Amino acid sequence: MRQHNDHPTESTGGSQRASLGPVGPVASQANWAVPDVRLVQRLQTAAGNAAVTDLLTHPPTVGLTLQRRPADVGATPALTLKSGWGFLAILATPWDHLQTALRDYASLKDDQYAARAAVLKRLPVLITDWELHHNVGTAALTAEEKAKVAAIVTLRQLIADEKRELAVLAAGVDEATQAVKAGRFKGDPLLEQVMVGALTVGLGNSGLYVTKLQQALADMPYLAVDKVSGTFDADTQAAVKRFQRANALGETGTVDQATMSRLEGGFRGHAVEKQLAQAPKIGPKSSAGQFAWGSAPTQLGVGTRVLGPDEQTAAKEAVKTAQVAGPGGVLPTFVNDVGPGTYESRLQTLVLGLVDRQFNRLARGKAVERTKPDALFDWAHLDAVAAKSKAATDAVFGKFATGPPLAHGVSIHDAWDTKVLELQDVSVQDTSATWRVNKLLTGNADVKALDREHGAIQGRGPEKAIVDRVRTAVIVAKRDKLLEIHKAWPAFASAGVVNIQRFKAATALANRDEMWKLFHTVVHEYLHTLEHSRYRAYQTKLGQQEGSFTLREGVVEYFTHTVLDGVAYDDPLRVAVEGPFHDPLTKHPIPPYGGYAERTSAEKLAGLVGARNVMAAFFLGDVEKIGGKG
Amino acid sequence: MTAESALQAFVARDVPRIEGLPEGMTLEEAATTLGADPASFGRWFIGEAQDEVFYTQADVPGYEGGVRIWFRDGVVLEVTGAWPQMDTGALAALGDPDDRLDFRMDTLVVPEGERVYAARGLAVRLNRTEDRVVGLSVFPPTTPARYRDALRPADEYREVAIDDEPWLDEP
Repeated sequence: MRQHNDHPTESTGGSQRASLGPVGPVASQANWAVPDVRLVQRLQTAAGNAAVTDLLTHPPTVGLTLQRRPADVGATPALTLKSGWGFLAILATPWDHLQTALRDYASLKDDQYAARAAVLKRLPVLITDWELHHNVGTAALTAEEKAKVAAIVTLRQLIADEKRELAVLAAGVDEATQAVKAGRFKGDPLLEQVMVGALTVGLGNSGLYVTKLQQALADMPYLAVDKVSGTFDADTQAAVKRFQRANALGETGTVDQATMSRLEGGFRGHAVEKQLAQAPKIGPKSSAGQFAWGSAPTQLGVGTRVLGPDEQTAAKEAVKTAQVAGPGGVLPTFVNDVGPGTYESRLQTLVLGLVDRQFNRLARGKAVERTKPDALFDWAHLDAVAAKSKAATDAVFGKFATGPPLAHGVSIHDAWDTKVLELQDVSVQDTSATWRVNKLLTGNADVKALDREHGAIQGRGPEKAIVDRVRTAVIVAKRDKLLEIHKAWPAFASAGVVNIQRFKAATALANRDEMWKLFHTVVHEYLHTLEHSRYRAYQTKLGQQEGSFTLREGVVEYFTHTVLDGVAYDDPLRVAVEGPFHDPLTKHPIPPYGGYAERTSAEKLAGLVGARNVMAAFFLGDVEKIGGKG
Repeated sequence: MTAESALQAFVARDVPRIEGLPEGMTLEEAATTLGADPASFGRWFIGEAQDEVFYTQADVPGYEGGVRIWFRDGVVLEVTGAWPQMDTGALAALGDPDDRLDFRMDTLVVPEGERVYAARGLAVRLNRTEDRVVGLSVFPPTTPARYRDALRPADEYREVAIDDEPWLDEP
């Protein structure tokens, strides 16, 4: 039995509270036979009358109950002879069914949206059933029936409130515009409601969103990692109070808007993750490569935790990138013509234009530049930049794993030369042209916006046929440009070798930009070389959209940001990275690093299982810590 | 078969003469013969289990895409060469392969394009139209299953993101 609300309560002045009316007297805890969760608790708080108490306190009869009774005189001789007893069937009453449904609702966690919706749909039917059974509205009612009618009035109002809340939650969250910015909390409807001040989270609340709050507190660390349970308990309350005290917030022990805002703000710059990676009291790994499975120093496992079955399932879901319906289960409806033109015509025009744009930006004139040695960056300088990338990465994750430096001629090759070689083959040309168009179709922001406008899902029947036609048309029209773009693509990796372009830009300023981009890219690529073989074996067996992409690229991107967000861009680093383009009088603005959008999925995973669990999986091969099996 | 004679047959792309590599060939031996720097190496994955492996690189005449020596604990597991200059006609002398495996060239997966002559310690990669050898590998003679499970460097192609476009990558 819980003393307090088991759902995020409305904040003072919140719009949902207004519909509940004034807060009435609260029944004593002793009266409660049903867990005081969610709707049930709201009933108590809002009504406080005897009928409501009755509704909640009398245990329902579940289904058909058999009671022994003396056998009837007229019973069959066989039964009489057998036991001397017969059985009396007592059917559950409509009121019992209503109570059972409320119990069902009470047993659900706050973020079991579909199950909550199902019970809420059932409750009005059960109410009507009771009303018909008791001729409500057509016959005189007993005092008990009148009291129950009063309870039902309150219940109906509260069901409506629950449905309203659920509708908001089930509509999902637009991650691009939501108030929550830290990746680990992204996409969670309940936490978003807390962030905008519509709900608070406190004692008794339960669900994966509580796990995320607890894990955040554990990562910071205000809560012992073994206290992450998914239920907001006294330990969590104490941790919240410690966090609030440290952040000069009121020590309420409840996660309200201000607390949530401060909590998620703490994860925007990856300082927490950097601290966690550097925390183990051991030195950096001395030899290049991974720790053999199971042989890593125990200090590296401190702060990790074993996942429960629900968490394992949730962790696997968090890394999937397949387009799925939101919490409400609704996929967009495809509309071919939204006014400015059909989906096909608009998509084709857009992609043709994007190819031209990419060609002009990446490939125009590059074949000529390749013939001029002074138009290319010097390998020694590029190696020096790569060494700085490795040093920055090792400074953060070097206790978990280190790798050999990326160096030209071995692990860094000339991208242009490699492509020229590969594109000798006509079949490679064909697939590469297709690849380039697919990349625009699946990854470009303008294409995504167009898809949203038309409600298009490219893999779905009607849209797929259109997209296939557009792809073919673009390849026919732009094949030569597509292949030049492919040849000039800034960087790619193949079987452990990183291939980069060496084209200098037109100005020193632009070249400084190029060097910083290279610095960022090599951090990312170097991190790829630190992946544990057990982790790699796990992620390569998953489908691209079933988690492989997130675990390969999203997690590396998460760690890349962890490294880059903590880099001190001081003068020695600037001199080394900017090389001959360095200007001591100018502090070059470091270009922003973007990378994979799937980083967010990786951070969601960390939000559930903890950043240390993700590190243990990636660097040490402990994939069970992210819900996997080795 | 000595380490040197085995590597010389590989360097010459003299396929009928290739009998794989001797067991236990050291990195030093291979690096010396092929002209690689054993102190400059990279890390990657090999076999179905994605075991850790290291490699060093050599520029070897006749291999337009270079040669890689794959090793672990100072012992050579395999030597691979990309874009060897050779005639596909030389493959006729090898007879039927023990196995045929898919492999990746850039964005292209060539179905069953890798012919594995496991008992000879040799694997040959052909392009999709089978008119060009694009890869040669030598390793200690083994079984087809062991080659697939423990000796094949992992295939992967990934691209760096530009602006809002993610990398497309495929294992």
